[in-house]
Amino acid sequence: MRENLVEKRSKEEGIKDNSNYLRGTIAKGLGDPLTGAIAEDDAKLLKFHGSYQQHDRDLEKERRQQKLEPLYQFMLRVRIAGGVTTPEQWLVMDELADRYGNGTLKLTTRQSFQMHGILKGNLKPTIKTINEALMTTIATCGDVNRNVMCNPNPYQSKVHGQVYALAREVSDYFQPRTKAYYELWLDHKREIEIPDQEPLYKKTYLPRKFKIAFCIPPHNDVDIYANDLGFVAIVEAGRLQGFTVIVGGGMGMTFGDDSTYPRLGTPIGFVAPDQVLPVAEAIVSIQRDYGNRVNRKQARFKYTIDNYGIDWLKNELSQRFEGTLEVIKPFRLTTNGDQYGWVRGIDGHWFHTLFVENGRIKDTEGHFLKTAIRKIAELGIGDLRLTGNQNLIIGSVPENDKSKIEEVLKEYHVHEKKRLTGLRLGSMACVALNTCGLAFAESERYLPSLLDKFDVLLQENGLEDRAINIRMTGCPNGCARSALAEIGFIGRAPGRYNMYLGASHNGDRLNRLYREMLSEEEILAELAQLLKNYAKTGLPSEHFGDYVIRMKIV
Amino acid sequence: MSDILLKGGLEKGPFSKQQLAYLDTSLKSLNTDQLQWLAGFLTSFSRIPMERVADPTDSVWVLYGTQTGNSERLAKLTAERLDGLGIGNTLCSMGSFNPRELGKINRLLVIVSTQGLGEPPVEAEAFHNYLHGKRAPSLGHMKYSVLALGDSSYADFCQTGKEFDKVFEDLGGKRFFGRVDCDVDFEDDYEEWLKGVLNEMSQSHALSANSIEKMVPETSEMGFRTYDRKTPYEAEVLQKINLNGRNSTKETLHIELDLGDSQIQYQPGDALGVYAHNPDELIMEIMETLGLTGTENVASHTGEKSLMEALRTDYELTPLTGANVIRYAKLTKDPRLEKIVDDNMELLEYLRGRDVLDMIRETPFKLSAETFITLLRKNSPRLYSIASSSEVYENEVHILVSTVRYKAHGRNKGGHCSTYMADRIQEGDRISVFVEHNSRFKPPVELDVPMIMVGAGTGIAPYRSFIQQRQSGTAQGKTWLFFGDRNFSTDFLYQTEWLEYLKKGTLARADVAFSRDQEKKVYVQDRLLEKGKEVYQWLEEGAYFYVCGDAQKMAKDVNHALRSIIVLHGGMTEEKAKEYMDYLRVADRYQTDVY
Repeated sequence: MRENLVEKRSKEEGIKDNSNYLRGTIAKGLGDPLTGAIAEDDAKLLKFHGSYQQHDRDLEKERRQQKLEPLYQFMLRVRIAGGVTTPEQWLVMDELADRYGNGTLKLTTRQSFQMHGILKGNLKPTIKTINEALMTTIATCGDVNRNVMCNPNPYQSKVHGQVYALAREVSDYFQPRTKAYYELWLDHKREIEIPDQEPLYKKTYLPRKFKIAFCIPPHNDVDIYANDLGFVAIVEAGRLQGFTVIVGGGMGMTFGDDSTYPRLGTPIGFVAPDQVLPVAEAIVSIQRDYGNRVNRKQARFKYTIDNYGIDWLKNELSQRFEGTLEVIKPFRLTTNGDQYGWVRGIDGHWFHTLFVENGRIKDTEGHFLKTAIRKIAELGIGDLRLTGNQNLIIGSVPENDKSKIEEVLKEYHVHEKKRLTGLRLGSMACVALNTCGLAFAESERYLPSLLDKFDVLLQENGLEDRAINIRMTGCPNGCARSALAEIGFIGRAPGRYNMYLGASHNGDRLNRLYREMLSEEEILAELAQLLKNYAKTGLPSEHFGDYVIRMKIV
Repeated sequence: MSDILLKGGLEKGPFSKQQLAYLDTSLKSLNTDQLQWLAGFLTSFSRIPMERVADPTDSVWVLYGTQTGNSERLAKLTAERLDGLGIGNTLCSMGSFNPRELGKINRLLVIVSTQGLGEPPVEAEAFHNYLHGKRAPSLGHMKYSVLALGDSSYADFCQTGKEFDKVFEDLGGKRFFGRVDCDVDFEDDYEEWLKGVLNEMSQSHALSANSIEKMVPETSEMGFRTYDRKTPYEAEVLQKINLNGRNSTKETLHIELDLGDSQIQYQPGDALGVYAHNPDELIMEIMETLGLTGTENVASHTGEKSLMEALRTDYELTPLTGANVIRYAKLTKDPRLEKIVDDNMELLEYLRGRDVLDMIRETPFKLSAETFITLLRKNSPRLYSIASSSEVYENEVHILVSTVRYKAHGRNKGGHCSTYMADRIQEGDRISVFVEHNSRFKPPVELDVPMIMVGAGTGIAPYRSFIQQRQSGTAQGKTWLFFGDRNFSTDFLYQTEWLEYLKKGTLARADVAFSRDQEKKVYVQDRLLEKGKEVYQWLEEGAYFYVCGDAQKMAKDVNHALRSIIVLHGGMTEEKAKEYMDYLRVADRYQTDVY
């Protein structure tokens, strides 16, 4: 049966198998001066190195007419375990965005940086510079374990330190071991006599991407239930006891394919902190061996679990994991959003969470966010933390330096925008057009203007300050985790969205389809009615997601 | 035998246009056996002394030095006219002329153009140097006349022609008809020169002036209407695309024209002449400056019409030419202008960036409509290398036009013809065009011969037609393209087509140089040098080497690079390498189309 599967396995499996540990012919493609692209198969391998080949979709038609190939460019994703960067690292990213990227940085929903618009010839110097600043792009995309998330919770600063260290350890541990990355981008010499080894991943890596996150309750900004593998910190009397293990979460689906669906993770047990790595390795190895390598649409861990059953998984795990999986310890999550403004951690340092609309760090007229953060980084105070909600925390600021940060934020008008509604503060959008090849509709470029119109409706109903999370993605793959939004939009076609309602405010319940293929006008009409009713019949402090469920609207 | 092969081959031969047409029509109808028989017959027949080949000293030599092909065309035309009058003649380019023949030549007609800043065409350089050198012979036995071609928007107008005219005199030659200097609208001046020359000759050939007159007007030899410089075809613009991507520093238009049922024929390497119209806004500003309305009736060189109409289609308003200023200075007697036209360098400086409107604004003078048009240069066509093959695009012709725009003396200005096509012509409009044949830039007749094609910017245009022709043919010689421009992302002209040809193998190799993509500027010659070893190998395998584009810098740098490659990889001395290149030139294996 196995041999049969090898024959039927997907094209991507063959590409990995024949890639000589992710080399393919990438080097040759990078050196071809006649095209801004690399070969199709190499583009798939390039993901493992942290980059997607994209092109400017706005210009596609025009350039075809001009007899020019698409304006190929590369997205580069930088791995920041737990999302914590030093000011020095931030300055490097800031500069690279200007020199080789499109002049902006995107903070992702998984605490990474993304740069867009890098031309082929600039890929190598960019990756090299990133590595010189002790960051990396390896395995930020591709069929491997990705960046490991960790709640940047500033209140529990002591526990956070421990969990963050574990997240880094796990992140490093699951990086591919191939030397291809170092040869291609960092000019390491090829040592043929020392063969490549991937003790965990083997030659074909994982069947699909794999996501791990750590969460420190009560905050759930990492959306722990959306991960293939989640660890929820159990803290008693200020001390870290261990983690409740959650498996099989995932957001993506395909329109028209009922065998695909978003799935929340399932808690399966509890492990002590020193058991995190062994249990993670056992779980990753199960997915490596049992994940579907024939149909990529069924290859995520969530389908492996649903296919074989949760009991099978536990059984399989008991054979591979030498420690014990104890009884699940309960925890309570309040929100998957961020809390803005200054808070003081128990170590006495200050943390300022800054709303970054859709995670885009850029300068616009009257709002010089990119310059401001650069100026703050230049002060060399504390650290800069990326949240799972595309926001930024200016962290670990000593009491004495707080005013310096305030001054910069003031000077560059970071706060002087009009007062933001609770809905906008709880908003996220994926990149989508013009660079993402998967997008059916606009997302990041569109959501702010749509929210302007929503704001009017909120004001009419006195709901400006209600925290409601709203998320938009340009396709159903779920980069911005729209399936976990109280109000979710997924692009179907240019200007047309499916509308989903009813996820919980803390990220433990998926939303449901409410209406399909809505135009903006239809979206506004629907929302006007919903908000009017919510203002009238919603209970005090009842979240919008819970309200629509109670009223059986979905 | 393929028609293209036949015609392409014949065009390289020493035939007049008329003879070409006859040969082409007659030979086309023959099958292979008939052709072979004829070949044998002609070989023996040609050994029989022919009537015409009498004393070579009796022959009138028509010697031309050409860069863009105009001098060659006029020389061929001249030979045809002499043929028609029964005057024995020998047509020869300066590039392949052996100066030792000079001693035998009693009557010489020289047609030569001037390049850049008063320099001779590349092929005329050696001969020009020879005449000015120590070994120059005495030419006391020779009678001669010079037709000089040039462009009066340059200060050293017709400089090369003037120099030939003078050196022949210095060497003892007798000028039997005075030199005529032609501007870009050379037709009328040429006719005048030819008439004068023929008149002088008729005295010794007992020809009546009447028969000369009769010979002069060219009439259509074929049954259908032919289109040429004098009678252009009104072609519909099918498509106009700026090939440069967004944010490019350049604007290069790809224009597709419908030739309809005009039966216009062209070959790869030929050029398309285009007549531009002047913009109404500019004409209105001139009217305002002169206090004229535009409705005044004038006698334009094409007939009676309103001033507005005449200025729109019959004359050029930009660039300002030396002749414009000289005439205006004479008319106005303005001391400043008179001083300027007296000094070449000052004139050159004055011309820079100015147009007619600048001149009449800076030096106001009351002018009538009639007088005003006498100042102007006749509207002349601009020539663009053809970028298509009629074998792929039947009844269509494509050209590539680089739009010239600049700001000078406080106003936005641009190229006379390029801005016409960029700004004032839409798809569906018709523009006046004709084909200018260029036998000096042709793909090898044999389709299995390798080609190296070097071009920068719009210099890539003819290669598109070369490769299209190969694509439609059967035999496959390998081809190698070198292309240079500013930025890869926006300026790789016809990129998707080249990638497709590479995929199919029609194009074997391509190398590109984008000067502004990195700190250190890189040009096509740098790529040639990098690949020097293989370039030399290709040449040794019989490759044809083509250069198209900028004459001032690129062509010279490429020429230099080629010599270095031959020295380095052929293990030759500079001297030997030069000979090698001369040989390539003579064998038509090193062809240039530069401007």
